[in-house]
Amino acid sequence: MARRFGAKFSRRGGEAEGPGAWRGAVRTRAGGRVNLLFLAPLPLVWAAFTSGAVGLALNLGALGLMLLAAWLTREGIRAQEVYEARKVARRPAFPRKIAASLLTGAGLGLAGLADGGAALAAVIYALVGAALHALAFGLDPLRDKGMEGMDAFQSARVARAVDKAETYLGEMTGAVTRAGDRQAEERVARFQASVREMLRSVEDDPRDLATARKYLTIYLIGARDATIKFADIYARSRDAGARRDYFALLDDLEENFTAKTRDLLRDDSTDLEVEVEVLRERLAREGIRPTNRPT
Amino acid sequence: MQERRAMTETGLRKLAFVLLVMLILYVSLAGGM
Repeated sequence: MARRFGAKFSRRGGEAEGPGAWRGAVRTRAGGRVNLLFLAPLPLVWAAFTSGAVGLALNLGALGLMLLAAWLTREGIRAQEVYEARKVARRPAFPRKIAASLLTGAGLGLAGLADGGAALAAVIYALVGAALHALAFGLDPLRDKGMEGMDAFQSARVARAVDKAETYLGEMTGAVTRAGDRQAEERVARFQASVREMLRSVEDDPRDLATARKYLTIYLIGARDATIKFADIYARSRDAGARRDYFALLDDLEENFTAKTRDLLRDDSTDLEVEVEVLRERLAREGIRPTNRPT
Repeated sequence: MQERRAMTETGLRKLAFVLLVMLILYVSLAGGM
């Protein structure tokens, strides 16, 4: 079936522009620079096949280590971006960038050995390489973020709930891609943006988790299941009715999520008002008036 | 002041990256010579 050409930033004809599906999106840094790390050690292939058996093993080993390091660097940068996007986050379970620094050093050292050079040269390559890598990409975030003043139990619950919600969102994206409908993909992305707003709000105030939990589990699971069913049906039959129903469902869900998020924020400001009021009253009860201010 | 420090840091990172790529290229090219 013919499909209108377009990608994520193309203009869409005939459809009203809603609030952008890409609001809050940021450019990933895991792009161009890191790709160079995959390319730079490739000349080792040539070295491997021109220097005998030991040279072959050492050079290929070095190449493997450096490619692994490049891959770990990319994963580490991605993990750090996820960490920075969230207000409450645990540190990455495995410090990928630090491991990448060490592996880069090891790879360079091995390549230096293969070169037939002295062990000292290999050690120097290894140390300088590891240091430069650590300088260029930094270290992984090593401590949990945004968990000060919260008890560990509560913050762990929030982090878990957010993780789970993100899993559902990921599954939705995977399912809707199968449907092969660009508008549906954009619609889902927009819905996900509104869900993420709620996630940020819950992270801000973990007490909201109790009220938002239904949204982050039952409704999200429902949305995911509906997406999977829609993708199955639509991929098979291109049923316009199913698409319309699915879009209507997403509209409803999005409205509800947005309204709930607004509610959560309003609750927060009510809390503040109560707090201010109580404090003022207590101060007034102390009966002391500032003397330098005209009353 | 803070902005300037951030700029210096970015510059340092870029320099370190360029040096790293050059080092990898040098070591891997020298191996084949």
